[in-house]
Amino acid sequence: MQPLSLQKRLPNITTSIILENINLTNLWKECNLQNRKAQAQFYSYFSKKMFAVCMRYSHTTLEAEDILQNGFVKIFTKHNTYDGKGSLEGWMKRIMINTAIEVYRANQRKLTESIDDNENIQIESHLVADQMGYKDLLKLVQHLPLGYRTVFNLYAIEGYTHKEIAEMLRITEGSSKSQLSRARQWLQTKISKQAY
Amino acid sequence: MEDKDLDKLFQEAFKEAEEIPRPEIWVQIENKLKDDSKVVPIRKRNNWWSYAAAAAIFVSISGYLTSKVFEERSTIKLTANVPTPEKATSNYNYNTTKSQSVDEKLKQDNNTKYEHLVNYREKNSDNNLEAGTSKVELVYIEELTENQLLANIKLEEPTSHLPIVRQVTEIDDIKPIFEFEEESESMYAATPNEGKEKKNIITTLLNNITDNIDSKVNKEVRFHTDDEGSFSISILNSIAKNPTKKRK
Repeated sequence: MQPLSLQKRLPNITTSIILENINLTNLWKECNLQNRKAQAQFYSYFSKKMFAVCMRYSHTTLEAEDILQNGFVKIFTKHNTYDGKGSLEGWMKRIMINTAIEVYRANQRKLTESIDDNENIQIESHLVADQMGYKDLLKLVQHLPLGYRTVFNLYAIEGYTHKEIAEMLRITEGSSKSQLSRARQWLQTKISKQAY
Repeated sequence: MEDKDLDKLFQEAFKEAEEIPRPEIWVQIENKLKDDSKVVPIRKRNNWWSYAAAAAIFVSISGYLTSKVFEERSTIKLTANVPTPEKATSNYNYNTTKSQSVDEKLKQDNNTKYEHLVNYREKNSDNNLEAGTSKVELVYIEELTENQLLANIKLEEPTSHLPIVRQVTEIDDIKPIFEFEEESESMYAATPNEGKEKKNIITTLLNNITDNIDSKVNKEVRFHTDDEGSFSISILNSIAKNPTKKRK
């Protein structure tokens, strides 16, 4: 198993990283045995990161919570589908994204909703006009319509190709490209409006 | 801003982002896991149970059928103990091997026997099989005592056991009287060498199945097997029945 991204948290303490890795492997094993206490611990360790992923794929917090819930249930029940190749965290993220895509497929009718350009979005960060903080950017992404938001996340953040996105969302490559450009346009507009 | 820069802006912001979910969510996850864990072992058990159930059904069906086979066999044994009536009727079949006088006498006997059989059966049509059969045997003994010795002497032959088996089967059959006799008649006419037929488990099972399919049809289709293991089906119909035997 590859070392987890814990490295970024504790960059100079390699031994503790190794220990963490071992601990995590054991913890994961315990989770697979349906050890509820281990699962609670595992959840508390990864939930924040996973929830952040869920949040940017969702329009509301409630939606994000649903995805988080279903995702973790899948993680704990279908643990055997993790083959050990690639990071555990990466596998978990993929499950969250797939769960989010299920929401996408279920709501495909609402994709063609028009974006309200005049929509008033409260931007919390007032520190630097030019710079938008995480919270603001998250808010922007959440206000994208479902289709644009999903494609933007998959392409710009996750790094999938249009071909892969088309496959995942069962749309054409062309549709993926056009949705991405529309998402970018919209976001661009919103960001530049925050110059002041 | 260029597209790539825009993407990068969002990338950097979201890379190591963390959001804190409400504690209630874990509770909900836990509950779902509990429900799932209850379901999964049962599903695994279901696989086992479904196979066990299928096996149980199969065993019960085959057991029921074989018990029917045993029923027949047991009645065969019962009636085999009383050889005289069977021998009397079998003589009817082997006319060519016996002397004339004996045949005549036996013919008379057979006629009387059949009359008695008819009478008896008509009286006791509602009785169950085994009780009826045993009573018939007794009647035979009473009525045919004068020919008993003759019958005994004449039929102390190697082939005697075969006719007994055949005859007993027919008498013990769970059929009304009329068809019963008709059936024996037709069997004579259609397949004279039927005494040599061999029956094994498969043929008796098949025979039982066909009997049970339509109780009105009296052994129209019979399954036999021979020494080499090949199966044969003999189809008997009313055409082969003896027209002189009219019961109605």
